[in-house]
Amino acid sequence: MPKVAVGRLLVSIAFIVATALTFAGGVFNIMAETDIGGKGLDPSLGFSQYAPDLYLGLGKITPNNEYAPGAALSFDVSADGQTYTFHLREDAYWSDGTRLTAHDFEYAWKRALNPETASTRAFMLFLVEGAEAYNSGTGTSDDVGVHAIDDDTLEVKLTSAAPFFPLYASANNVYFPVPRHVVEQYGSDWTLPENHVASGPFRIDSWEPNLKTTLVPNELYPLEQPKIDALVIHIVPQPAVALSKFENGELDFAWNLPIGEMARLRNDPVLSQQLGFFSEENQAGLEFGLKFKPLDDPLVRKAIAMAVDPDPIIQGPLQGLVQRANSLFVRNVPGGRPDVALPYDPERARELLAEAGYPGGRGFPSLSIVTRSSNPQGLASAQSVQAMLQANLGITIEVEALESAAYYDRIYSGNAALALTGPFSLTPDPYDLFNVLQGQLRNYQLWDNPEWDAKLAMATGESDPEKRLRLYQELEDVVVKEETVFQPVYNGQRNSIQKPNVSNYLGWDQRNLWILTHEYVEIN
Amino acid sequence: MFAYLVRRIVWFIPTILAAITITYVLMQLVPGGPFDLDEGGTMLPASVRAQLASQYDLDKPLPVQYMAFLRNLVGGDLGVSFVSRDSVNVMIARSVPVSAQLGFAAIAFALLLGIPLGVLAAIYRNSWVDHLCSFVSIGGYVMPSFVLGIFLILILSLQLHLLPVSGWGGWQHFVMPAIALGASSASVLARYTRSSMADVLHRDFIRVARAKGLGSAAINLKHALRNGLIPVLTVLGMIIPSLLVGSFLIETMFSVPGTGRFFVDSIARRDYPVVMGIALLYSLLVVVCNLLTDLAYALVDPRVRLG
Repeated sequence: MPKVAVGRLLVSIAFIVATALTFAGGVFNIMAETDIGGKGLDPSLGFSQYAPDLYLGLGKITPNNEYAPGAALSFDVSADGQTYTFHLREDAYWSDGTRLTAHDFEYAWKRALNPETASTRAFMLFLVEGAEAYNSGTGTSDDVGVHAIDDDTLEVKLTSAAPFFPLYASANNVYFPVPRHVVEQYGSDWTLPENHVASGPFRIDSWEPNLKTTLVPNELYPLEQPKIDALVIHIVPQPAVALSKFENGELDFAWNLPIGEMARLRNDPVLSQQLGFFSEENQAGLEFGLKFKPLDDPLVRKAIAMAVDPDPIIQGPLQGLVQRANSLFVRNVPGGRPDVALPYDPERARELLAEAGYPGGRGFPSLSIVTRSSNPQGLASAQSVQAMLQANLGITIEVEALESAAYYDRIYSGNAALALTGPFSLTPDPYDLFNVLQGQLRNYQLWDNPEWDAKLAMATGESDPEKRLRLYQELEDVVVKEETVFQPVYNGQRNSIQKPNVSNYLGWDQRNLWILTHEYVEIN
Repeated sequence: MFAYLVRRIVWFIPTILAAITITYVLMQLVPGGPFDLDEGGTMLPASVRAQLASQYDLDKPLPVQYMAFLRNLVGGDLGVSFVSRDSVNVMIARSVPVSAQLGFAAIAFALLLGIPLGVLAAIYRNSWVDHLCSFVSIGGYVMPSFVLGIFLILILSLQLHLLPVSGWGGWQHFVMPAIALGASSASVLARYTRSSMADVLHRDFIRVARAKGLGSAAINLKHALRNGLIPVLTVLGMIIPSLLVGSFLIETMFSVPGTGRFFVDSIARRDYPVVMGIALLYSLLVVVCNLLTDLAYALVDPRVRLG
């Protein structure tokens, strides 16, 4: 080989190595179970997992679950706590160079509230004055309390004081801005890659329906640029296949790993180092349908709650992949206490049941616990509850395994005597959690307690953070300790697996997958 | 012939109408509704579900909803998916070519493997060739497609690193799903071809051909195979629509963005417009394939007269 050629070869190798070292960026390949692209990227229609990557909200939720300035650099609150004035930054742009203004927020909120939009998340805007009336068809969009005073100033009037509002409006995608000029030009096709413009850290590069969506950094994002060159979200409906793709190097991160593979992964010297989990911000607990006698008697509910030991459920069917819940507060909502759930005490449970008129379980009617047939762990958990109630209280309950939609239908219509389900929260604040809980207690369990509702309204508007937290804890005591309409059992979390060269992603703190952005992720 | 075709095509209408009406009624009888869960797995408040239902006219009486569906159908509009909010026409137009490509690949695999296996087994009946062919075809038949799929992934992707585990776009993505999807059809074709060829090979006209001194290749391929394929055509007429419309298991396993995955997902989500759109497509495919099968009989067997 002539010397010149060798020299060239060496130079090009050096160049390639240098390029690889300078541009550490790289492509981050992750997965979703169902297609997240297309209209799923419209923040106003429903829950949109990648909305925080594509749109700059008023604020940003930091990796520590705190509020930080986003599109709004600052805000003022009126003395009564009901009017917020957000002052927007002047250097925020849509990816086509058009400025992101307060008008885009006003337009987005009113569009989501328009009944014709049929947004499944419009109800999250009901904190805003006139929003519920407009959405339910009794009011007009002009009466909705959101108003762009000029390009840089957004005024929001709330139905009552809500000190968590900036945080809430930054965590829930229905509060994100949409580009009015693009939505009006392309209508419902505005989220297609060729039309879409973004204001968040990423923009859409391509969408292959039901196959994958590729996001790339948005050069006009006013905050720090993402560290990766592209984020590819592959649609992989089968958990077992996702794991195979991960092992074959096609994915850098996979979650919802098949429970049957956990033993192999834990025993593998390499893969065990890559295992992790992330919190799901939901809780499963015993829910009692109060219209089923004798579950209307608090003594009976307490007896059942104290006869069920969470540990065998967590260690058995759930393979230690969830965390025992001692409080209603899911992990990312501050304020949880370690001793709220009733303790496992079969002796005391038997006494309570006898006190209620069913000594040794005699004369106790046949009730059933509903579960989803598509969820084998849930089914096994329900069977575990069934066995413990039989052994500890001498009562027989049936396990009813239903197809998913039929299961939710039973729960919604209040036609489930017992179920293992519970509240959730996307916002790191008790507001969401307790409002969901209130809806579930009233509608699904038919628990009506005006005094409790009044206290909840007080807690919502309380501006002193410590007083507010105390009010929520009192509400929790009523639900769990006094009335026992709900007994926490475990906090959900999902197992995941991640390549060792990925950093600043899930597992590096208490981040929540569902409101996560990918701007901090690094691939080394 | 022309009158026959017209008559058959006119009969499509009541057949398809019956199929979609039954689907419509069954779907409404199943408990649960489309807004029980939103994309984030969130339970929606009752008032919100009621408002959404009224937005999509789901609060109207069933016959009214059904008539509206038929009216839109006549105008060629299948409605909008409750889940993805895409037009069902667009979703079908996007996913059908994918399922059809995979289906054709699977059919090609089934034909190229199944018919030669059957022919070999019939010609060398009761020899080791026959036993080997039977072993392969029964094996392919009893092994569920998803089990075969898992084996393929384990061997070709995770062990040998020859193919990507799943996805769509290049030829590499075709191989495993097409084999997994086509294997049981190949077995069925092989079994039918073998028995019908064996039957034909015993007929008098074959003996005559042999007596005339025709070579065995000409006898086997020209006379025996052509006649032996008639029952196989019937089977093929049933296999083709089910392969073309897409397989839920295979499309889910290999992350293929086809129609089969939509269909099962849409039933689970109670996404009524998508369920109806795909049911319509499937019934149309079945009646068309039935007609084509009947036409193919006439081509293969001169004794069959249409009319």
